[in-house]
Amino acid sequence: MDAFFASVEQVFNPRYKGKALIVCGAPDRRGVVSTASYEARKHGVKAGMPLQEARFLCPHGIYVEGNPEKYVHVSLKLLEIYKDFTPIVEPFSIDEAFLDLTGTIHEGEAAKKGAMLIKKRIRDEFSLTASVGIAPNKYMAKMASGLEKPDGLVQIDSEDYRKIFWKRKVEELWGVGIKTAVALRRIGIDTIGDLAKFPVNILRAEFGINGEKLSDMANGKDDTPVVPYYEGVPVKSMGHEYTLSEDTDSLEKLEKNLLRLSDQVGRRLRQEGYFGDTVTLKLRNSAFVTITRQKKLAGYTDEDRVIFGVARGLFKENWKGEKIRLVGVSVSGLVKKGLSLPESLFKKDEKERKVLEVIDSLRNKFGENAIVRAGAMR
Amino acid sequence: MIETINEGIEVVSVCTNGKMHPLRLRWKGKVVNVKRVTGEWIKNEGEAKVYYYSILGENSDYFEICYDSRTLIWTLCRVWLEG
Repeated sequence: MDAFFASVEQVFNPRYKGKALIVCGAPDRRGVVSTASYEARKHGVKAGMPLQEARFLCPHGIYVEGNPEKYVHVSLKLLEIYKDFTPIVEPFSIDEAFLDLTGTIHEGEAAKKGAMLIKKRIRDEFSLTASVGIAPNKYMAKMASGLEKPDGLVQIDSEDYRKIFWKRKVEELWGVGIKTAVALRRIGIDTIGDLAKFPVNILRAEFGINGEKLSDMANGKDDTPVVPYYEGVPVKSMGHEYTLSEDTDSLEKLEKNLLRLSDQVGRRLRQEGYFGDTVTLKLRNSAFVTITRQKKLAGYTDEDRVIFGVARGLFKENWKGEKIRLVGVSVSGLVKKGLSLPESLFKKDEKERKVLEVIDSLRNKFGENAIVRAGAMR
Repeated sequence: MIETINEGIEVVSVCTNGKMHPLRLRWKGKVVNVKRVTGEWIKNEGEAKVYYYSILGENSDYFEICYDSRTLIWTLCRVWLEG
């Protein structure tokens, strides 16, 4: 979907149409841009940019607080459209999905017509635009979808891929960030074509397992299947992060936020039926220097108290007393409940688990704010 | 400019095919006919659901209203009035 959050806001409130609209967290707080409308993008505003910078570039923009429930609702309705074309739909994010048209009437030559029909239904039913890429695999389709935004429709094959992308810079590859691009340049790789032709064994020596992946990306190779929505995509980690209302070096404030984030992560793990064995702490200071530190646990957990204990330990080991802008907590090494796990871990925390069960049942009945840990209250 | 209101209102609506369609609302004694529902979404509050509607009034005033299935109360959340 094109500028999804901003486009939804413009459709829901037509007063926003044609305006530079920036969807963010609470506009009176600090934070980053979630999505900018195409009108705002003309001023250089883009997703992930600090709001302060966005306001400097686009002072006349309209800044609205994002509403996740609204976007999820529209996203699920869009999924219904996709399912009319194929049952093999993989929702990749709230505003992106892969559709496998193999075996449908829209296979092969008819794919473009199918894509046009999907776009038409999205436009007719939601007044939204989507950019579609059609290709033999997911990676090439994703790359193609970005070629003619907004409202694009591009079909490519392997030869087109080489013609279109090989002359472009490596950072234009989906999944290659600035750090990887710098590392690639260090070994003489500037364009996607350079990367495609570079010996894989050297890439592997330089980037480990990702070396081969980088080569495949440059060559448009991808054999990962479209995982249908009903099978679910395996989750690797769950986390939350929070930009503080102002930079702070108050231990009490920082620990309060760590507790709240740990509580949210634990709640999500239990809701979605996962245990994890690694806790990661993320800290960003006033100078925008970000560190992430993680610790592997002796066993698996989904308990707020355990997550907080580890996150706080990592915080104490790594915080040098400077002012902090952002804190984040995540849990990885996830396994689905029901799989074999070390029993002892849970036996000794029976009391805590009962407390959590009560907290969860209250939240299930009355909402997330029905009960909040005293130490996490703002 | 959009303004947050959060006041109780009266709403006339019809339910068809399992969906609710607001037709008219009364706020501060003034009746507004719904010209168009521009969007809708649902927020889960525990077991309860809150149904939100973005609507345009006859003279293009914008209203965001919600219906709480737990309290059966309609609320005017936000408005953007013409002029």
